[in-house]
Amino acid sequence: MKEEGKFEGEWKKVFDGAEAVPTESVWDNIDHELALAEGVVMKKRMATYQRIAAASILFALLAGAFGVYHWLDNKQAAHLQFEKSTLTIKKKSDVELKVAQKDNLPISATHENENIIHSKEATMKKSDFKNNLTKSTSNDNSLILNANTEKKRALTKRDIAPSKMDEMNQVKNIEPNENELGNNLLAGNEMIELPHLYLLPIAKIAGEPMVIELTGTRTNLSESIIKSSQEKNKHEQWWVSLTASGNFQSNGYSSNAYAGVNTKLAHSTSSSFLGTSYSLGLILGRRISERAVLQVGIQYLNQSSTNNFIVGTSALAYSQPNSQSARLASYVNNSIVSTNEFIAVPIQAGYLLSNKKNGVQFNAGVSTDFLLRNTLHDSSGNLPNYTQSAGEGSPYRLVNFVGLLNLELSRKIGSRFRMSFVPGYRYPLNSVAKNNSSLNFNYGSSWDLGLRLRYILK
Amino acid sequence: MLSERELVEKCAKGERAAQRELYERYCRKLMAICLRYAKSVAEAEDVLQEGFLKVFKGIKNFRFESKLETWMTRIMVNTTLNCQRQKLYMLPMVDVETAGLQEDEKIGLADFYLSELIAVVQSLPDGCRVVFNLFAIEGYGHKEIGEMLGISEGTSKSQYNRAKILLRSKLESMNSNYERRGKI
Repeated sequence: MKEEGKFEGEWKKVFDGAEAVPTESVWDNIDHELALAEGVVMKKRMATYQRIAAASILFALLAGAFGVYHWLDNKQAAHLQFEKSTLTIKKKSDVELKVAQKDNLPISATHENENIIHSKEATMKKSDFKNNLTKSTSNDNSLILNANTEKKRALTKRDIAPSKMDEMNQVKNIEPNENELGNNLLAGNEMIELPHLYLLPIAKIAGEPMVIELTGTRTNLSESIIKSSQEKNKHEQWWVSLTASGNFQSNGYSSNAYAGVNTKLAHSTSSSFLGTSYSLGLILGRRISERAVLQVGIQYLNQSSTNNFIVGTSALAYSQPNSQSARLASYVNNSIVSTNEFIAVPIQAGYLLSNKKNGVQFNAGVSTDFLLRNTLHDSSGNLPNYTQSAGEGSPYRLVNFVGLLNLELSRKIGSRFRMSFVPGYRYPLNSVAKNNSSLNFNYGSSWDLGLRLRYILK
Repeated sequence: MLSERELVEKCAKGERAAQRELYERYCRKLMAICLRYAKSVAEAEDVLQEGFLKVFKGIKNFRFESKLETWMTRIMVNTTLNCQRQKLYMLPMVDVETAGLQEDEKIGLADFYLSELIAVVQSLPDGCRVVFNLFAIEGYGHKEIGEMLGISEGTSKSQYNRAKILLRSKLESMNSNYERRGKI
């Protein structure tokens, strides 16, 4: 504190206990603001519920999409398995037919040959099987039938009596007539090797009726295709990206900064403005399905806007308040640079349009930007820098939300790296300045260009 | 009539009637403070409104360690300073010549109405006005003022001296007008 002189004493005495009546509108405004604040609390609660609901829906959609993807994947695998069963019979095969003996179980008269091949169970009369079994060929194109009886054996040309050879030759010429074969019965209690099941003279095979179970393993070709596909999908599951982006913008800001702070000057300003921004950071990415991607990061973001104002300076006006020269000299050009620094936490969902050597990925999300500080800088150097952070007394918000849209155009470099150009769009969802602030020093929506170097972790 | 403590407690609960009563009790005194710092009545009312909103928001943290009025006055002064800071940045305070300053000469404020004196203070340039209020009325030292406003102690002193010169000049001018009117 300080010593009080006569001058100060007199003024203090005058203003001690001084009162002035404000207009009624002041309370009305306060009442209105308080009501709004209460509404805002409710709104915030509602917004929280809405966010939870939105997150639940999003989760459900993602889970659904994930489920559909896996269902399709399984369906494809099942289809491949089915294909294999068919193919191995018609072409090369490791199929093992387990034939379980059943007593007197006639095959249905309506069974077609295809059904016999594909079905896991089929019943036949053993006697018909024995009577009609006339053909077998090379071991390469063989189909192995395992019979569950004591008299298992492989039927080859050697095993067939010469008297039956003519009959066999006739059988060779038999075309796979579905109707004919459909009426036949397959039976046997031996282990047989047959190249083409449909060529079996089934109706004439004698033996005990038995159940044939077809089981199989994937061929090498199918396995390699599936393995390759799985490996491809497993690659590039996790990655971390170094990211840098920037933009340049002119005439993109509103010009009424400081309006309300000094109305007279603000009205007399003719302002031009220039904006630049850059960001640096790290992004962690995760592929959550074949096409869907989730990315979370942390970035340092610096946004500057230069505003040129014609403003008054008080120095001359103070010393020579009544002179014409002072009035003229009291207006000078000021170029004020307002710089906002943020720590940004972007969260983006991405969709891989292409993920080959050249990749295209579309990303959309939200960035939560935490204001570190705002610095006002006079380019002329006449004024010292003025810095303030967010807080109760500050006109700036601490937490800001920005909508993000961008496209990653990438090229894979080696097996572990991917370099991307990322043209993007940033749309602020709220103003950096508080609602009740007279400031309008905002960095508006903008296009930017980024560069990302991705290191594939897994 | 509610006691100060009851009033504070009810305000802390957000009871609108209590908030209205608190406003009615203190709005006139606080308005006089805002008028001294502001350039106009409208600006003073804006600050008063913002200040009261801060009071209602922060009253749940008031611990009766000081008088309620003192606490509210401090909030009003801080609010008005926040409002002035941007303005002061744009209109920087510089050291000014203060030659011809007559120290401690009685100026006879009792001859003027309060509204006239407020108008005279409001007519001061922004920097001078804030420094004058903080130094002469609130009782802060130049060093503290310098820290509060981000200026040097010397600048605060020169601004204050400039305020004294301007105030004296304006009051003398008003005095002579009275005398002239009186003669007519």
